Amino acid sequence: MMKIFAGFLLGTLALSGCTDRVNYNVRSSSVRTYEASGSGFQLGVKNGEQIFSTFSVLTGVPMTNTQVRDAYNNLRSQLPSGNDAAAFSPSNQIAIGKLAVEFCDRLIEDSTLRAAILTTVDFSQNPSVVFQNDQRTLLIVQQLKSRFWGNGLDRIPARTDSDQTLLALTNDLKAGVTNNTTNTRAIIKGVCTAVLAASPVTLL
Amino acid sequence: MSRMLAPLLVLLFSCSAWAASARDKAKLIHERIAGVPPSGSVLTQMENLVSQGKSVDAAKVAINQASFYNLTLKNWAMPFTNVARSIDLVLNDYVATIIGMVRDNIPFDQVLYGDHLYVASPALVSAGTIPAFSRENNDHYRDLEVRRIDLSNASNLVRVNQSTQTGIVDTAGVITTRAAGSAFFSAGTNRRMFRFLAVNYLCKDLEALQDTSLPDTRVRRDVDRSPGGDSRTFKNKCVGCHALQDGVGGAFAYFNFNDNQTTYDSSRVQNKYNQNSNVFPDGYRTTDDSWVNFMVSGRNASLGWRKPSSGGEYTQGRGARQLGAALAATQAFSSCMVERVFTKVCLRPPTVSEREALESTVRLFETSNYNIKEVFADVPRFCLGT
Repeated sequence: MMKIFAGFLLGTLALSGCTDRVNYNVRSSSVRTYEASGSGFQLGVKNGEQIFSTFSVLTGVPMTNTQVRDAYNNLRSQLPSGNDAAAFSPSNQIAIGKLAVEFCDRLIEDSTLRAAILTTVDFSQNPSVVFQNDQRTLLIVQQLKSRFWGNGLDRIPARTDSDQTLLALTNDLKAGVTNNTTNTRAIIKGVCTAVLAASPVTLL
Repeated sequence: MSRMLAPLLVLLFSCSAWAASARDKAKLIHERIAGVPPSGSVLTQMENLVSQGKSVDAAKVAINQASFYNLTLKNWAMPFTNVARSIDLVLNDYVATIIGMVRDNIPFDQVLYGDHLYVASPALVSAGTIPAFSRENNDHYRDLEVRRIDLSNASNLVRVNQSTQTGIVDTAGVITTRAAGSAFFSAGTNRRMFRFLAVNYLCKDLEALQDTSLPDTRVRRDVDRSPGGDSRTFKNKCVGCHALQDGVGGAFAYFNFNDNQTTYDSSRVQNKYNQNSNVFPDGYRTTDDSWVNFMVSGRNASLGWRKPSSGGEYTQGRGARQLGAALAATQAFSSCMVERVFTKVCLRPPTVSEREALESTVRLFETSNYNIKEVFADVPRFCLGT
C-alpha cells in the first residue's frame, strides 16, 4: 500500500497593516509571530486536544477510531501543549501534519464520509480522469476548503492564492504516479492533509 | 513505499480579518468557547445573534455544545488538579465533578464545600463500558475519556453525594477528591493543599499573601524559629507564610493520601502534622482539625472575606468543608474565577483597565448564584471584538 505523506504547511501569519491593539514582534524572516501589546485580541493556536477534536468534527472520523486515536496518543507530546502562538514550533506543525494524514486517510477510505465532502468525485476513476484539468481539480480543492475552512469568512486565506497553491500541490502529487484508483485516493489524501493541517483550522 | 513531500505553504490573511464580520466573530466565539469549529447551522445562528449585537446570546449557543464540557471545561479545570498545573493529564474525579457542576448549574462556589461528586452512570458501569468507581484508582474516569463518553449528557455523568461514595464525612467539593489528595495531600505536611487552593481559587500564591505582622501562635513545631541561627530570618520572612498557612492548615489534619486514595480519619491527627517536633518543641501542636484564619484582618482583608450566612465571622472553624466555604465566600474567589475564564477565552490575563471593567462580570457571577456559564458568555465581549 502506498501512502503519500503530503504537504507540511507552515502557516505564516501576515497581519500587515493591522495596527489597532496588536503589536508585532518579527522573529524571523520566514515565520512571524505576533504578541498582543496587552489588550485587545490575542491570536492563539489550538492545543493538541483541541486539534484532535477539531479534526474529528471536520472530517467526521470519530476520535474513538483506532487509527486516529493511536496516532494522537503517539503524537500527543509533539502537538502544541497550550494556546500560546509564540510557543508554536516547526515540530508542532509536523505533528499536526502527521495527525492530519491519519484523519485524511480514514476520511478518504470511508465512502460515506468522503461522499459528504467530495460530492463531485467519482473514486472509481483514475487520476487522469479525476484531475483531467484545473477546473475539476479546483472543484475538489474548493470542496475541501469549504468544509475545513468554512465559507463567507474574512479570516481565511485569499481564495485565488490558496487555490493556486493547492492546485500546484495536486499537480506535484499527480506527477509520475501510476494511473489507478489507489492513487486517486492517495492524491486526494495529500490535498486533504494540506488543507486540514493549515492555519485556518489550527489557529484560535 | 512512502514519499514525503514537504512544500511550504504560505497562507496570507487579509489585514482586517481578525474580527471583521459578524460571521468571523461568531466562529471565533465558538472556537474559543467550544474549542472546535461550529456546524453550518450553528454558525449561522450565532452570526445572526452577533449581527444583532447579542454576543452574549451567541456565546450561550457555543456553551450548549458538547465540546464545551468535554474539551474546554476539561482543559480549564485540569491545571487546578496538579502541582505542575498541566492540562495534559487524563480525566479525573476532580475535573469530572467540575464539569458536572457547571453542566447542572450547581452554584460554583460549592466547588470548595459541596458534598458533590460526579461519576459515570450506573448504566455505563453495568454494561461493562466503564469500570466501577474506585477510591483506589482513576480507571473509572480514565475510561470515560478513552471511550470519549459525552459528559455533557446527563445520562452519562451523574451526581452522587461524595460522602456516600467515599465514606469521607468532611467532604469539601473538589478538595476531598482522589485527584486532589494525590496532588496535595500525598507525603509532605499537608501545607501544599492550602497553597494550591490559594493559587487556583484566589489567584494568589503565598508570596502575595505573606504577612509578617501575623502572630506565630499556630506555626507548627517543625518550623525552625532561628534558621541559620538567626531568629530575625523567621520573624522577617518565615512567619509571613507559615502563620497564615499553618493557621488554616489544621482544616486538613484528618486527611492524607495513603494506599492510593484520599483518606480521612477523625480519630487522630495525621502524623505529618506533628513530625519533626524537636525542631521547635514550643511550637503549635495540632490536636484536632480546628483552624484559625488570620487573613480576615491586616493586609489580606483585601481578599474580601464575607460573613457566613449562619452569622459570625470566618475567623475560625473546623475541618475542610468550613474552610472551603470561607474561601469560596471571598470576593477574591469570584474575581479569580472571572479572571480564569477571561484567560481561557481571551488567551491572556486581563489588563489593569480590563480588571476594572470585569467588575461587572464578577457581580454577574455572584448575582447569578455563581453560575460560571454566565461568565463564559459575558467575557468574549471584552476581547473578541463583539
